[in-house]
Amino acid sequence: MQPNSTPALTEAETILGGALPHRRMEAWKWTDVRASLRQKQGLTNICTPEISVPEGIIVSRETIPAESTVMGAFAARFVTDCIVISTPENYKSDQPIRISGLGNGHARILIKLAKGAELSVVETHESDTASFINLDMQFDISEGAKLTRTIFHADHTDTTRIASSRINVQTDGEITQHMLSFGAGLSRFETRLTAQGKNVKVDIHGAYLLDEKRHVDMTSHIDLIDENAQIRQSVKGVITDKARGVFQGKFHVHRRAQFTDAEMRHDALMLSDTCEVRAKPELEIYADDVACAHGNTVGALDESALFYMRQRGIPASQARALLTQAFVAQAFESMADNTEFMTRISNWLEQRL
Amino acid sequence: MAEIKTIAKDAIVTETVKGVEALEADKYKYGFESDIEQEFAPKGLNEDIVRFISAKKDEPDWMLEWRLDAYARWLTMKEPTWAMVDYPEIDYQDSYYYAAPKSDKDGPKSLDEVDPDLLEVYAKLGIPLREQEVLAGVQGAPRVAVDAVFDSVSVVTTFKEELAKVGVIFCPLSEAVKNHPELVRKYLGTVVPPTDNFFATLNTAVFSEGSFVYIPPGVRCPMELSTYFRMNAQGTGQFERTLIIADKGSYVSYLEGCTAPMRDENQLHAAVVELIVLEDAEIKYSTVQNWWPGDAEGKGGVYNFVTKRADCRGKNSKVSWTQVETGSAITWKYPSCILRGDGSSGEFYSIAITNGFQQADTGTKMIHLGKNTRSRIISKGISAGKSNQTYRGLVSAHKKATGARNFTQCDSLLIGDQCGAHTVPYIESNTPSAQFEHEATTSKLSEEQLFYCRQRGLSEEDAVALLVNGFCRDVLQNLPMEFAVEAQKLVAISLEGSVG
Amino acid sequence: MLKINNLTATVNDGAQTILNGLSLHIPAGEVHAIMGPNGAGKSTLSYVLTGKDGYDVTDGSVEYLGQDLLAMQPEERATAGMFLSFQYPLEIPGVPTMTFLRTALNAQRKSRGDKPMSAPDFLKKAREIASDLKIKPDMLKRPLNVGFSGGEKKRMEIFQMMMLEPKMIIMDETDSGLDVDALRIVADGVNALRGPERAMLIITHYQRLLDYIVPDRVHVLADGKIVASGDADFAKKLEAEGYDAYAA
Ligand SMILES: Nc1ncnc2c1ncn2[C@@H]1O[C@H](COP(=O)(O)OP(=O)(O)O)[C@@H](O)[C@H]1O
Ligand SMILES: [Mg+2]
Repeated sequence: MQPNSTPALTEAETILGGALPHRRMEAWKWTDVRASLRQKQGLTNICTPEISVPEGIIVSRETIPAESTVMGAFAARFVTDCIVISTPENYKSDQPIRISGLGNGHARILIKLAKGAELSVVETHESDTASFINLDMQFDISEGAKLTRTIFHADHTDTTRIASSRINVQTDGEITQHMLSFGAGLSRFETRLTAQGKNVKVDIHGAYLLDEKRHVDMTSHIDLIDENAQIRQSVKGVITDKARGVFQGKFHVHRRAQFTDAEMRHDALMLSDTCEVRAKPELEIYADDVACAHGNTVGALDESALFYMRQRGIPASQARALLTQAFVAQAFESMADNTEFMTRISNWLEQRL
Repeated sequence: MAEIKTIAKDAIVTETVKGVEALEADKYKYGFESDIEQEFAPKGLNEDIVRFISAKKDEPDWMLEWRLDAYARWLTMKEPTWAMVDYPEIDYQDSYYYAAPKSDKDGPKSLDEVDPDLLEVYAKLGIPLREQEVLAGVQGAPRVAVDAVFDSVSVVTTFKEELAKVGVIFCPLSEAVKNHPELVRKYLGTVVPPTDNFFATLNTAVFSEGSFVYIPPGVRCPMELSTYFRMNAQGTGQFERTLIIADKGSYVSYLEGCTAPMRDENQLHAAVVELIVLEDAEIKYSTVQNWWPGDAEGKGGVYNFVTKRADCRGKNSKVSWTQVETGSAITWKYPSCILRGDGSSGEFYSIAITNGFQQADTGTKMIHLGKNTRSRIISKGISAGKSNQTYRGLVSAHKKATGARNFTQCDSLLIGDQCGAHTVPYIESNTPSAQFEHEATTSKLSEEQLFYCRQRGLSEEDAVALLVNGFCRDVLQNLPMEFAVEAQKLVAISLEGSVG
Repeated sequence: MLKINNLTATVNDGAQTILNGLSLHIPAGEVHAIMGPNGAGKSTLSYVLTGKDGYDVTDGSVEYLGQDLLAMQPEERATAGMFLSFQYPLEIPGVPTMTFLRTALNAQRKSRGDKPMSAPDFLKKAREIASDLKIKPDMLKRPLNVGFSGGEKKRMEIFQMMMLEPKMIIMDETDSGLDVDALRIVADGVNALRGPERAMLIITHYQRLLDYIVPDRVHVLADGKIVASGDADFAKKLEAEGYDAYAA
């Protein structure tokens, strides 16, 4: 139920000049930015990302209308000139665009793939001191264009990071996205994807590994407007200590989006008595000739698998690590080269299991 | 057991096919209106109406105060808006909150005192009201004790004496308030508190009837208990309240059936059901909800806003909700289980069918608080016509709910491209030893299967009914036999006109 | 080699007693078979011997190669040469069979103080054994047992057994799910491992398997204990007469 009156702004909100998302808002019920944002410094900073682009890519600054989301409006208030990165038609390169330096403040980036272009974007989201980051990204994928997006995230335990991406995909467009997150004090990666054209292909996978009091929220909202879309989504979570993992996924299949083939999975492994998992895998379907499914599991490692491995002589801790690693690896099976991710994952597991 | 089930299933298939044929003519079989003299409270809602209802029921002061508190609270509350249902604003002043058949003024002492027209209504509904009729039936015929609620009052409760012999109390709630105040005071409102939600609070203020069941320790209730609800009077809301207590080691199976006449206005139904299950006890609660869904243009129909909740208080207690939801214009209903006792278990089996302009937002909540608690959710949703349907569910584990288990299977079927099927599960776990598993699928009826059936000579409608019944089998198997047959028929009737 | 004395085991915090004073001695070099009706406790015995959680030993003792078996961790028992071919082999998604087996083999070698086996040696050995068991090489690359048929899973158990070269082999209904050809292949593999240093405990329902792997002793397990024993011919008699005479 909605509160009858809007409560007074918090100190952070006064600095920002408006209300932050809070748990009374259905979409933010498990990621309460209002309650968690304690920082007062750096809330109005403007972030200058480091961007390296291969030859042939054009980088400019333009005035773009703000996103209609709460966080999008904040980003637009502080950042009037959006960074615009665009490709020519049928562009191809074996070099990715690299974006880093997203460590503090507000930022807006728009990436446009022209018809038939193929582009990789590698993003690193890191902070080594307590920071506040509000990143608003947009990707326009034109007809027949293909985007490969790789996201790595590891923040300071007191950092608050909200990273939102709006992705528009036209006919025959494709996106493959892989994200590995080690969390932040409070963080949310929100992907709002609209498949506007026919035959859109979406692979959007991720894993989060969280310890201490970290929190990550992987939220995605995928709108399918036209026929024949294929969506695969798989998110794996490993949480320990007092960490909290949140997954919210939604497929919205519009009336015209016949022959949609969509699958969503979220599986979380809980390793401590004090960690928490929240999940909401949603389907909203208005077309009848579709095959849509979602699955969700939450729990500890499978004891019988553990016993089976130990019966073959593998020590318990090693068996646990092997099973956990295999569990997480499923999110990155479709990645062209997942060695860097897998190394980071095994290092993380080694230190904690 | 297995053998009986097979036979029943075969019978059910035949019944389904027959049901479809028989219903060509009268679409909503329960839609006749009964011409019975009614007594109404004045239209609208205010403190005086609450007092009026309480006075009509001859209630003690504590009950009146309880109602008034709820009413005051309700005035400060807002109607929930999170469900995926869309309806014009309800004018709560435009409804009657109390309607009783006139002859009930002093309460019927026996069946003979009941208005014969009323009995005829129940006969039409197929309720075995007269004990002798039931007893005269074939040997081994199911014996069901019935509490029939007609608009705001309970008309008659059968088999009371036989039940009393084993200590089972089964009577209208208003009677329980008088005769068993200690039980009512101890349990009423302890599962669904007066402040629970907008509709439950409204119910607390104005509820006029309902059933009360108490099963004493160690007693296995010798027959199924049943309540039939019917809204008859025009412009009336129905606000019944059911309270069932299964004391230690007892068992009861309870059936609830609902119908309402066809009307082109919307009728409001805001019921509350509270189940309390103590150590080693079990309650099986089955519902066939067939309120008037509105006409082909989406006019009229019942707004069904219901709060049903079970509290598994004792160790190893068990609750099973089974529902077949085919009626109502709007359904807002989440029968839930609070799994408090260690080793307690909750089940939710649901079939929801929406057609025409119906909208249903229904599901369950399984709240795991105790150790080694189990829950199981099987939900089958079928959307046809221009209807929309949402499964909404919560499964949560408290830190202390070690060893908790949940399995959820949610399947939706779309028939036609003008309807919608949605799934909104919430999963919250706070302990690693809880194991939660959720699977959901959405699909359409298989063309191949349809063709296969038609190649064997079934009409398209029969084939659809047959396949949909197959899709729902996991749930239908959990219904008591008599209900299973009725439910199968309803599946076919509800889908009529959805193909071709 | 294996001395089980008066073994009593319960489940559900003692609510149910499954093994009830079971005694059995298996000297090195011998093959013993255990037969018995469904639910007699045969699989339970195999789990208690290999150290699965959820079973409480409330009485009795088990000595294995002079050690107190029940005090050892599951992986210690495995390293000491105890191998269980599971009645229902597990599926382990995401872990390829070869990775799994190499990890297991090298973990065992490490605890025994041996060097890890080199990758080429390991591959060579695996290929040879797989071909003997008619296991297609690509099956070894797939995640362990995922999507395998019942028979394939059983063959995979024998494959692991031959790779790990255990001393004490327990086979729980390895024959179920196998057709006659597969049964012969599996039996050949098992017979090749027979030797003076090894002992085997074969749990089965049917005497069919014992035509191929001829046991030294046959026991009947009923109501949680050994109620009768005999030689290889005794199995035939049991098959003909059933277990009724031994049930409580
Ligand atoms: N973990 C357990 N919890 C409860 N009962 C068990 C458990 N394990 C085995 N049992 C019961 O013990 C009995 C013996 O089981 P099992 O050893 O599998 O028999 P067998 O292998 O001889 O068919 C069966 O009745 C089984 O249901
Ligand atoms: Mg067995």
